[in-house]
Amino acid sequence: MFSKFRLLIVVIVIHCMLVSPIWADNVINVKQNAIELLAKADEYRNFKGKSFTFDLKLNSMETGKDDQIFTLKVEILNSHTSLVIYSEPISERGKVLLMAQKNLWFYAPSSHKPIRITPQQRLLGEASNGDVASTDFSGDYDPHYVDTEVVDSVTCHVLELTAKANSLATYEKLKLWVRADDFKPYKADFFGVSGKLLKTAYFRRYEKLPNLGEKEQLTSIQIINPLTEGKQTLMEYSNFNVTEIPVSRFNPNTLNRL
Amino acid sequence: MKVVSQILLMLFLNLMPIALPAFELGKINVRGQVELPWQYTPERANTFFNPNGVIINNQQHSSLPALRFTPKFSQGSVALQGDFWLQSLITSTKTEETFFFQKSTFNWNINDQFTVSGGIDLQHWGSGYIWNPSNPFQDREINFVDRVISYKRNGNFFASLDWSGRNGWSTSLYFVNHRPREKLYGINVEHQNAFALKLNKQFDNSDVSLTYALLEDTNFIGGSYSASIGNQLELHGEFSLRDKRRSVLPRSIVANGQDSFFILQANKHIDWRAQFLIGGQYTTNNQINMIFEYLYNGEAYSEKEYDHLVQGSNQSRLQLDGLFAAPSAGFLGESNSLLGSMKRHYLFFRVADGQLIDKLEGRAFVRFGIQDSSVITGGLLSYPIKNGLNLMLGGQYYGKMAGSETAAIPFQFVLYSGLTLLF
Repeated sequence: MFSKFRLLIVVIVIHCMLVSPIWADNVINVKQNAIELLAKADEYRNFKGKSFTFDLKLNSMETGKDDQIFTLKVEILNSHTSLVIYSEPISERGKVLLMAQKNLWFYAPSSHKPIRITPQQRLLGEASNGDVASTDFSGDYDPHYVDTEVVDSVTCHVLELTAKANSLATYEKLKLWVRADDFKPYKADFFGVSGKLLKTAYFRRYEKLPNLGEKEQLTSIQIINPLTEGKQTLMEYSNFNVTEIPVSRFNPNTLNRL
Repeated sequence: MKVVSQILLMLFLNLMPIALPAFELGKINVRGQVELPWQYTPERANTFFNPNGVIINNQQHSSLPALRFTPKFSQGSVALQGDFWLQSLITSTKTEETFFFQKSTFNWNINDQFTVSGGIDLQHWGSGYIWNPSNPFQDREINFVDRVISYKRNGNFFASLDWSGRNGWSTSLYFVNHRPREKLYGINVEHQNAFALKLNKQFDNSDVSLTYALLEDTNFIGGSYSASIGNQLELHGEFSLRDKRRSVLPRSIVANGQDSFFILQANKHIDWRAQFLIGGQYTTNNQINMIFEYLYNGEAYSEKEYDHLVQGSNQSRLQLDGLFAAPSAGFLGESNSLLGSMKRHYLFFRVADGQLIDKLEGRAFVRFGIQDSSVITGGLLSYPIKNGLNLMLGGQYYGKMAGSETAAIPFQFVLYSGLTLLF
């Protein structure tokens, strides 16, 4: 009996030595460095400060209504400067949305002139401009480590993100669940200024990019609107390409030449 | 020429059942648009400048089918773009085709920050919605808002060099062979060579620009500013100063020692004139967008000048059966062409709702003349029948407040409807 108990103790100790210290270490580290944890999560959404492009299919769905599908070409110069070029639907084709800091410019071929728009204006169905153009939580939000939590049987670190002053942050506050094993974003709740839950996002799919050294990249996000049942947006990313993009493409005066 | 109109109509009817994709001609991507509008404009009889309707030959019903092609070719750092319209005016008495060469440009990104462009294009800038006084090449009619028919015109020959910095600064240097199209400058305006240098700076949530232009012998200084205030409010402003006024003014021609008839003549004296616009836009939580603007046009007519114009029209009316019938009719005809935005102070308001009822988009505006209580108000409803195919219905009403500029417009209102197909 005693030897069985001793054996159990040994097993527990060995287990603790092998697993728990790493786990405990992780917890201590991430608690101490939420910024680092967020940066690791961001690595699945961008390319560490390099400019890149991708295609985005955005499908807004609502019960009883036709799907609203946009296909977009997105160019990211840096975490604060991006360009969204509309390909479909036909009615939107040729339109361009430029985001530079908190400046939002919209160009439509029919007007021949870029106009400044307010961040409130939604030009992409149910998705906000920031949902599309922002690929970097770190640049727009200050993180705070909350706890670990098991969501859908997945162990996650929970971060609370607060919008930085003068950032392009679309939301006042975010709650972000990051997988404990590989730091992939798993889920996020987006809150407005009043504290009301506006959206919940599930980061559904990650794919290895053969053209970019098998880097694992987030390729599918499902955004659910908690305010209206059956209302959701599916964002599907493809054709990632890390490339030098001329800064002249991000000039409001030259949008009509894109 | 009716053949062209019939081809346009047949083409449109053929396109209707399907949503066409853009097509490729070799490496050239071609997009386009078909418009099939109809408009009804009942005349307003016996205005200052159109006595008994004898000056303006109004066609109450007209149709303006049009076909647009916008080809684009890109290869590396070079892009070629075009934008061409073929429009047919069909009335009960005539059919007339017009080709608009809006754009035919090349753009070459020399390197990361420099772009060279040239060809034919429209030069547009400024933060205002209804008018852009900071743009020395402005060509838009002030009240051309929310119509079924696209605003079409020919572009200007130009060459430009743009520099874009990584710190929010940018500069543009332009040469433009420009023909002003503002009504106030009359109908006999010629092309002029112009140079412009524009400096821009973008801040975190605002931007400012400053322009100097030399338009033949006229110096022009313009500036604009816009800023986002929070998530829902945007504020903007523009100004310009030019050292010559270009507006045509009435002048009496004396024959036989007495005033005999009037003409409109350009005023080219050194005469500093200011123009400015201030405004903003607000977007509600329900995505309703509102724009409000006040504009001041220092080149426009003062009350005294407008009274002089009316006086000229009174005299010209008396001459219509006399010795100077032809120049008098010409004076009245040209006076009609000036109408629309010839006073100095205006207020403008526009509201747009992209989902007025389900997919139905609605827009409405009103422009109020502070000096004479003139009113132009209008609206447009647009319904997407299918992807790229829209049915539109709209109109504009010209207020008839006694003595106001809009009461002199020789039409009571315009009603229009139409189909637009993008491909």
